[in-house]
Amino acid sequence: MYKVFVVANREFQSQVKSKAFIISLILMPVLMVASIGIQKMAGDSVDIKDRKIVLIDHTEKLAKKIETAVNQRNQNTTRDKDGKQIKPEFHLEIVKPSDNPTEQGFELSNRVRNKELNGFVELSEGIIDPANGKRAATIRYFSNSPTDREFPRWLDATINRIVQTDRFEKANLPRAEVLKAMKKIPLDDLGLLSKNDQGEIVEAEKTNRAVAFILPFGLMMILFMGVMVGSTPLLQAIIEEKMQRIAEVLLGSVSPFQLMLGKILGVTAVSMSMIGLYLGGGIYVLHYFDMSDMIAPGQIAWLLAFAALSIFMFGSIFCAIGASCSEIKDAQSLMTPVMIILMLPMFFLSVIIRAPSGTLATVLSFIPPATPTIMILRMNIPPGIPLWQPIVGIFGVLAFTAFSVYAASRVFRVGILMQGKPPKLTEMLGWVFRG
Amino acid sequence: MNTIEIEGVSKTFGNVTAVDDLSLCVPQGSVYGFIGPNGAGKTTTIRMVMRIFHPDCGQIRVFGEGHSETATDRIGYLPEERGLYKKMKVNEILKFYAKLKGLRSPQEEIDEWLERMNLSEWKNKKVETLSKGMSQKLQFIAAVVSKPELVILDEPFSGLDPVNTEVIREAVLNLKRQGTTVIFSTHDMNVAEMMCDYIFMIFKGKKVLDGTLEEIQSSYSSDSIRLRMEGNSLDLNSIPDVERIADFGHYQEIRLRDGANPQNFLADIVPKTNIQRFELTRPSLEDIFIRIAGPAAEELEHV
Repeated sequence: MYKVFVVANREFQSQVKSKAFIISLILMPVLMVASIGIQKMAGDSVDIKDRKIVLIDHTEKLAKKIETAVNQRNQNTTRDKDGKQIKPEFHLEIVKPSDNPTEQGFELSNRVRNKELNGFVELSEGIIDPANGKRAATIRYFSNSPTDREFPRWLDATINRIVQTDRFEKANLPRAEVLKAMKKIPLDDLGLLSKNDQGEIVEAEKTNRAVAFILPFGLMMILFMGVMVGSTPLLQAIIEEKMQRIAEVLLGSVSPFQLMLGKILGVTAVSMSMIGLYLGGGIYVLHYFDMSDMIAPGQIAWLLAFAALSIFMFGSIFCAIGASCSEIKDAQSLMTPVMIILMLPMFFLSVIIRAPSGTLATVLSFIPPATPTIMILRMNIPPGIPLWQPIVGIFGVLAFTAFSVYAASRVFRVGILMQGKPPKLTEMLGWVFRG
Repeated sequence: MNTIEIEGVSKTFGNVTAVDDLSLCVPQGSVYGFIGPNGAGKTTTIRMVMRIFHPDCGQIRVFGEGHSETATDRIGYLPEERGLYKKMKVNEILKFYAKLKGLRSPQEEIDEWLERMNLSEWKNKKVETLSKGMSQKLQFIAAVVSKPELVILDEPFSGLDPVNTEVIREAVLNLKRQGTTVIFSTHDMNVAEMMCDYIFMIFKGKKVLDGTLEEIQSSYSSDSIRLRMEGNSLDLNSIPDVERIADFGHYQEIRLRDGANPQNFLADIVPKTNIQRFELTRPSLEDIFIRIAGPAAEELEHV
């Protein structure tokens, strides 16, 4: 066992001292904060270039009203109090419908292509006068920048408001009354009522959906990153040892199993240190914002247990892959199926969040390679899951980890001294069962 | 007392038989040379002794034990291809390798060996900054720092300059004086002749030679001719019955075809050159090697 620790210690030291680790440790939170910050900043700054739009109005009644609305908007909402422009101005050019609408559409399209216009709109006759449904009521917006929603979104709302008012008038209904009658009533998301220490019943608090989502997702991401942060350097280290023939020197002193176990332990220590640091940072931030009751010690304990097992499980698989390959390039194709398993919880994320106790989520959380991430996710989405589930899950993971370490050690033993082209998956399975 | 006893050991990889029914005894305190052309089975034999490979059949006992882990702690191993972590410092890597052999505090031994190998000033340098010769010496220290009772050196002298060769040679002989059993494989027959108490040759997985140099040579008749001529004008290939010529510069070693009479050869060359030396002798180890391993090995020898 002493030798296993010697190997583990070297692996830990070499990874932790590497620049890549230190950079990723600092960079990851920085990048996360920066990406949120940049998105927020980018969200505030809109493109305030004027939008030039041509309007073809088949109803012959709406154009005037829209023009008025555009002028009002340009005057009232495009600038903030200090007169700084915050939204683009719209410039409308009203064009009469031509006898040859296709030709007209093509000409206008060319003007858009030449950047004279941002787009053009065609309002069909049916908007005002559907003739009992015989005429189509369509607003057709043509442009080559479908992601620019500034004008179409405004137009959609504006025309519908104008048409609604028109319809109310025709039906002889006062618009204000109708809107009052149709006013929506909001729904509040609340938690449950509980008793405090004095035995008084405490009001339920409003639940913040975003916060309720951030915790389970954040914990799952920490676990996921923990696996990732150690695994890739582990794979590289093993391939290096194999190619530099260091493996042979090591195998002169330790058995392949001891060597592999040492490496996995080392990488587990690396990942757990990282998880510890992030978790510590996270708890400090929660504490700072007085939200430390969001996370309980039990949740942290489960996370650490699942994380350690997960790293062990995937670490052993990465060891086997590393030992079988002579180049990172070869390893990549063997890595793909493992990465898919690792990413599996991400694919089902929305399903699991919507129904954490649904059949799919429950079944998935008992499939060992996916258990740690999915179980952590399910446990932390209120109201949580029965305790037997993570307990059974952890035993499943333990059993699977034992198997994967055993299987990986068989592959590792054969692969580590083999040179040349990497084995096929079937050959590797052969090593597991025949040795 | 034998340090290693190998009995009827075979090892195959797929359909290639690397070692075929091999038996060998290495006496304690001896220097045993493993020779044989590339791919003959030397490294496989060594790896089996190191328990890196398990034999398909047969038995290997090291220090009288069958399969046990503690035995490997008593063996120092220098593999054919050097394996050092490039990013580690010299002292760190030696400490790591010594600890893997079970040593808890190896610093004293490390300092001693670094001093002896003239590497003290490189102690805190990274391995990647060392020259080839220095890395080789470092790897040698890694193999012997744990004071093993058996040292296995796979090609310890390849790529070393004469000064460093001498340093390692002296270190090996010193180990022998202290009672350490040393096995080394080599392609250099002169080194083998000079240093080994026993020589073992493996060819195509089978043992073909085993014994002291005298024993091996005595099994061959005196059918080699050492010839020294004035100038090197004579083309010996043109003389009948000449099978092989090894040119040593100052003299040539000539082997005649089976059944050829050396006297006829002498009579053939006398009129053509001035002979300074003509000696009938037993073949050198190199010649024996080539006789066994054949033309394929001869090419390798002169690469």
